[in-house]
Amino acid sequence: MSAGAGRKVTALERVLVSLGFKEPDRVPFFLLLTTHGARELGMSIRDYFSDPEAMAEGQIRMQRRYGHDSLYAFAYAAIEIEAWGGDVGFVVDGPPNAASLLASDAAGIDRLRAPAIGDCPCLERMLEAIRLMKERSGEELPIIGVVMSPFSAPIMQIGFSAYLDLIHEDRERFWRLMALDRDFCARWANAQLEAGATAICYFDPFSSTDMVPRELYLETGYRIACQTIASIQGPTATHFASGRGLSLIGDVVETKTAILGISALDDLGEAKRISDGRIALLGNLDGIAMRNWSGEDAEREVKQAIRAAGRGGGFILSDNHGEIPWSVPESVLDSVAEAVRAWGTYPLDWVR
Amino acid sequence: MRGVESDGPIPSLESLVSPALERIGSLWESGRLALSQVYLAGRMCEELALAVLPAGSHERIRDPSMALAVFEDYHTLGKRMVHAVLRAEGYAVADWGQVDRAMALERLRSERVEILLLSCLMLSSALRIAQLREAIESEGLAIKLVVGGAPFRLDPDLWREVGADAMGSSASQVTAIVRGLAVRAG
Repeated sequence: MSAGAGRKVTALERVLVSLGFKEPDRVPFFLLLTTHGARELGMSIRDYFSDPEAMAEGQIRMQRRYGHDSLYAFAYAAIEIEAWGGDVGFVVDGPPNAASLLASDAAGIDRLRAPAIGDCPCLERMLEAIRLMKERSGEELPIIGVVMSPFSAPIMQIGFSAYLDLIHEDRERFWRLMALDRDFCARWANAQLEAGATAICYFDPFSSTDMVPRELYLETGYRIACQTIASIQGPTATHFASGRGLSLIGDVVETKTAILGISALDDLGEAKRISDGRIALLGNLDGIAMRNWSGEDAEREVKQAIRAAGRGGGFILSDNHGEIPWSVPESVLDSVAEAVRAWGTYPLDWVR
Repeated sequence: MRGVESDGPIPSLESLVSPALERIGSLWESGRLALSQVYLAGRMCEELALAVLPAGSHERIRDPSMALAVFEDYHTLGKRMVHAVLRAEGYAVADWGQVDRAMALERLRSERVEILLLSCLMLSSALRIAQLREAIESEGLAIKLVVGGAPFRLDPDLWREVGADAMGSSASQVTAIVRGLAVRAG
């Protein structure tokens, strides 16, 4: 790819070329870091996520350090529960978690009302962080916003077993809840795009074949994704957050999403073959194993992923979950970044 | 029900429910069944078992003595599924709900528990089991720790790293693990 004599290719250009199934200057890579920003700034995780300035600064600093190709506008999944009035439990060494259910019975589900985005301080903080990231990075770096899919959000809203019971035993109430969540999801995604996000990651772990059989996905999660993604006014990446989904690739393509996150449990080369230029792939370094990687491990894993999916573009190297765990040391992230620079330069002549 | 009347509830559950749960577990591990299907199957087996062997029945298997809990986490599905399997196979098990390290230690000091089954979804919670293990060792408590949940499935060596005695990659493995630990201890 030529960016004009002497002009450096920007991260955004690199990503866009790859998403067009062409080979840019090198394989783009996203280090999807959240809590590491707190460590970078010497703050507690709780303080970090309560400060939009810190979240923006943390992302910018980490991008400068590792040289990856995006800023990640994601605090924690339970932010949506907080927005709906639920509690969030903070810990000192990991992401905050949903600490209370929004509803514990059918009547509670019927009483749920989706909040206005502007009424939720936690969401407003995230939007302010996006605006600051945009202000400081201009058009050079894609900013990735995040939503929980309407199909997956009830796991946190009403609890996993209650949700499984609902979907199997009370389909009418399930669809009413989906309508509520779909409306919220689209509004939250569009608010992030309006604030400056370039694309939205549509986290949908419940649609993974590890969670529900394909027949049930087609009746539910697939239809919901088609409807929701159509209401999001920007590009989306669908992510099963470590869940497997090779057999769903053709279905996910039909939801009109641009990118699919691949699980470390799935064969990335096989995903590349099945996707066949219809959808770009994101993945699939194992974030949990990454905690204990040596420099050699990082190089081997990066090479293996690039070998499996790098040729012809349509591939962004990343972790498999959509969030790198707090316990992954910075030295490993340095090694991953170094390996991408060493082995990700196109053309990938070393790949046979 | 005729089998239950002639053989008693425990042998009937062992011959009917255990093989079904084992098969379901292996289909889940090989990716041929989804979690939602495993959950429903476990619930059905649990209902069947409770019909022939109520939760408080003196006929339930109480050796080894067991408790299960979600550890420093809020996701209860894994615990629910393990509880269903144990009840479906005739075991008595104390459900401690959600515990942190201090709560778990307090109960381990005061209640007779030989095997503690812990479930968690978050990696940070899973890693903190190591601190519980250390505290158990330093207090000289003879407790076997069995762990399960997504982080342990994704990293097959993590259970050793946190000092657990065993790991279940599916709920249906729990009875085999419990039997194995009981034999080793006995």
